[in-house]
Amino acid sequence: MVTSETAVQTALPRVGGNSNPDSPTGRRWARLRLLRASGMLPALVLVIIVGHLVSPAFLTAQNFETVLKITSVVGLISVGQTLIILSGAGGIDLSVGSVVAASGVCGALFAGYGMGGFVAGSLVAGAYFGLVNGLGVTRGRLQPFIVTLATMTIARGVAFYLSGGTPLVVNLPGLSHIGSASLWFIPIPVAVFLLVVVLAHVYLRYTVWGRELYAIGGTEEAAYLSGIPVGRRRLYLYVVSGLLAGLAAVLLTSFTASADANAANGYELNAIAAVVVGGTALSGGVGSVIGTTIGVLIIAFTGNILNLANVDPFMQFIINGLIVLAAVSLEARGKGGAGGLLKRLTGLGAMYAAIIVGALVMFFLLRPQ
Amino acid sequence: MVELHEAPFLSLAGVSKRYERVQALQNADITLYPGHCHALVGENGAGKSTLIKIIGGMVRPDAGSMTVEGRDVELSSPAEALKLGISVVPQELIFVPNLSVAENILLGDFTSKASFVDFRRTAGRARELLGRLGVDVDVTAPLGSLSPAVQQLAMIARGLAKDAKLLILDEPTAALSDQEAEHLFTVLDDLRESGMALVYVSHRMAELRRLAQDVTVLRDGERVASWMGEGVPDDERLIEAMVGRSITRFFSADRKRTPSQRERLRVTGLSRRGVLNDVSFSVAEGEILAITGLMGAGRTEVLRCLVGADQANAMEVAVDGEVVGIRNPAQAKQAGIALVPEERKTQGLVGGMTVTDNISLPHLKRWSKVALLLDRKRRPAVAQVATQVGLRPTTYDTPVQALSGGNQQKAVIGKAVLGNPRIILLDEPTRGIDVAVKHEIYALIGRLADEGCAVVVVSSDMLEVLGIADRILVLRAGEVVGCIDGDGATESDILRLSMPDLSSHKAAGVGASSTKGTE
Repeated sequence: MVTSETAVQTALPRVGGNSNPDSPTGRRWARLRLLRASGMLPALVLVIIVGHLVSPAFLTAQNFETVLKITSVVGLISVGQTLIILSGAGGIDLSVGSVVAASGVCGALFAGYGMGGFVAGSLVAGAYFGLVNGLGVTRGRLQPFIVTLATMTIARGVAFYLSGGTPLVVNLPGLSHIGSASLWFIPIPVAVFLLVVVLAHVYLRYTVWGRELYAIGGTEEAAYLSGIPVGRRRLYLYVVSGLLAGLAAVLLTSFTASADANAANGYELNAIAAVVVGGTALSGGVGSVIGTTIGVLIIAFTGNILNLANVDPFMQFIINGLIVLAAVSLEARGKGGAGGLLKRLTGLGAMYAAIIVGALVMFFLLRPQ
Repeated sequence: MVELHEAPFLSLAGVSKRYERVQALQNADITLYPGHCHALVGENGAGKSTLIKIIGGMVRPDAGSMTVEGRDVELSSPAEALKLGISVVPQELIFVPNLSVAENILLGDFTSKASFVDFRRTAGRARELLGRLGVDVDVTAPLGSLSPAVQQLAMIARGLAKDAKLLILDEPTAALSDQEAEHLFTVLDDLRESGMALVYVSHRMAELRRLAQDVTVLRDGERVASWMGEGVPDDERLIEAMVGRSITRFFSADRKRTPSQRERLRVTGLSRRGVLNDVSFSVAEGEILAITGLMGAGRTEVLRCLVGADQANAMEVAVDGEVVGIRNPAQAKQAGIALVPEERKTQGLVGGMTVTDNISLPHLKRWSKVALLLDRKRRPAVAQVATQVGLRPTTYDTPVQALSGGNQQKAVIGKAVLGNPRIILLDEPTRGIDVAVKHEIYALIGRLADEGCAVVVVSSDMLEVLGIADRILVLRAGEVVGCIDGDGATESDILRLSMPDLSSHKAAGVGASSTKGTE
């Protein structure tokens, strides 16, 4: 993740000889934020090195292609999730996984009109669910957690109802092309994901609305007092999140040439995990899509490595959870002054001790059958 | 002096606003002229900030009309006020710590090309605005990393950035040095001369005298006096308008007995890094000690350390001559120390729970048997305390959030009293409470002392401190600078101790009515 300040600083040569050269505090801040922001990059590198050591099949173009292709679906919804979480006030979108399924089914119903019909159907359906979420949260002033929890169930229901519970075959040559072809050497789904990441990054770092989004999530009052339409902006973000879920549905459908109401189950939680691992604060105002991308990759590669190492697939759930805990533990800071950090660290130590005890019990007493 | 027959930029008439049971504004009016600086004065809670918020579109009045440049308007958001050329610099430092100085100053107002921020020009504008205020900092640094003075100046620069026709400043110099403040005044003079209307809120008379042509005085939500075009009147007249009552009448706390000689609480060498330094004091049985000082002097922190809510780096506490160790609120409770915290809604009460549940919350163990709560024993005990603090029986089963601020405060005090504390600490016990209930709470504090409690009251309300304290402990920058006898103490005694430099324009920094000691 690249911090806003470094970006701004390169864009802003300091004018005037009398300009205070970087105040020491300012510099320290910038460095601290850079460290925190790119904190997970070394972790990603470490994961890749470990992968290489574990299996010679890991660091191959073919393996990367496969992993990244599958990951692009979760990746897309993680970008939307990042935007919503950044906007603060408890923003979260639990519905995206179900919306991917519902969008895919809706798109499939329009597949008769060809590729355009399928894509448009998916995107419109995704944006529609986003709009419902956004209206509930901003105009209705309901809790984002509750609203999106409800639409999560609703969207899943819509997917099952419209598909009758069986996967709908989407037989479009254009679609299978998306799933199988490459742009230069990058598979199209991966290219789509990367494009969205770049667009979102540019949006957050360089556009007026992007900068204002950090203000909305950081100190809503300051944004409101500056005349920024806080509610409307949040509404748009939910629509964007839904739209990205629709786009994710297009990619997911392209892999199997069928739209399944069971698809993308639990993806919303993977997306939230990726956002958190990527260093975005759940309280809003701090974070980036680059961080989220790193988070997505860490989780994806870890799963891949465990597969290659023939680790029980069920273990992957456990390890994913541990990654999230480890990532948020790294962010731990002291609170309440004297001895606060120490207290916090002992507390974390206690948690890990409990986890280790649990692991020992699991491995040695309960042993899998 | 100044011509008054030009058309006003803005006028408010018959404006009222009620928050729950507190009438913040009652039929107030104000008229603001271009090229005039209008001083808005009044005690804490007189309605100044409510009036500003109405003008700035942050609060909708219950009644009244507003005219801007001859047209009737109704504002429902700050955005609409900004469109009409009304810019407010609020008292609190409201900014985004992670965004740069430039981004904070021009928030909502970035220079952009095709919706991309032009960082270079945005920074240039910010630098220029700060330059006008005499500030030279790296505008690309996150504002959160800079000093409070720079943060405050950035807030002012944000106000200037809006190119407003009316600029409202609420206590803008609280964190500024004299030099920085003087710079600001020069800028404000220029703006005024160029035809901008200004509203200036401050407790500092010297500043008002320096800047204002028009004056409006608010008291208990009503406009009680105004002087147009003649500057700020002399202290006597101004204070009479602001206070409108004498100290003795206001506090008739009838104490039955004088404090005994038995020392109940002794605090020695209380220090907390960066906040408190070697604070020591003692309180006798039946004594009321008031702790006062300017904002940021460390008043609240003393109480929080005493109950272990914050950790002191060093502190020795003795209760009735016995040294006790306090590292968390549970140990404080054990030692017989109870705190009535500053924020009753967030720290004192659970909003959705009833009065009975709230009052009994810290003491539930007392009426339980094998994990079961025996309500038939709890209710009479709670009822007794509730009557003692002046709550009516009809309120016992009401969720506290439905009660008035005064009754909520009584409930918080009741919660502390139920534990039969030997020492009770009250932080701003009457903030935001209407006058009638204030009296009841003073009487209650007096009764607690009479029953033998050692009482410590932290307050920024001068009249309150002078009216109820047996002794007054004055803090400045985390240190004890004096302890004076409550009997016969005056505001100027306290001010002289709390002010870092009395001769400067910043002298009148505490209560609105504190000016006598400064001129």
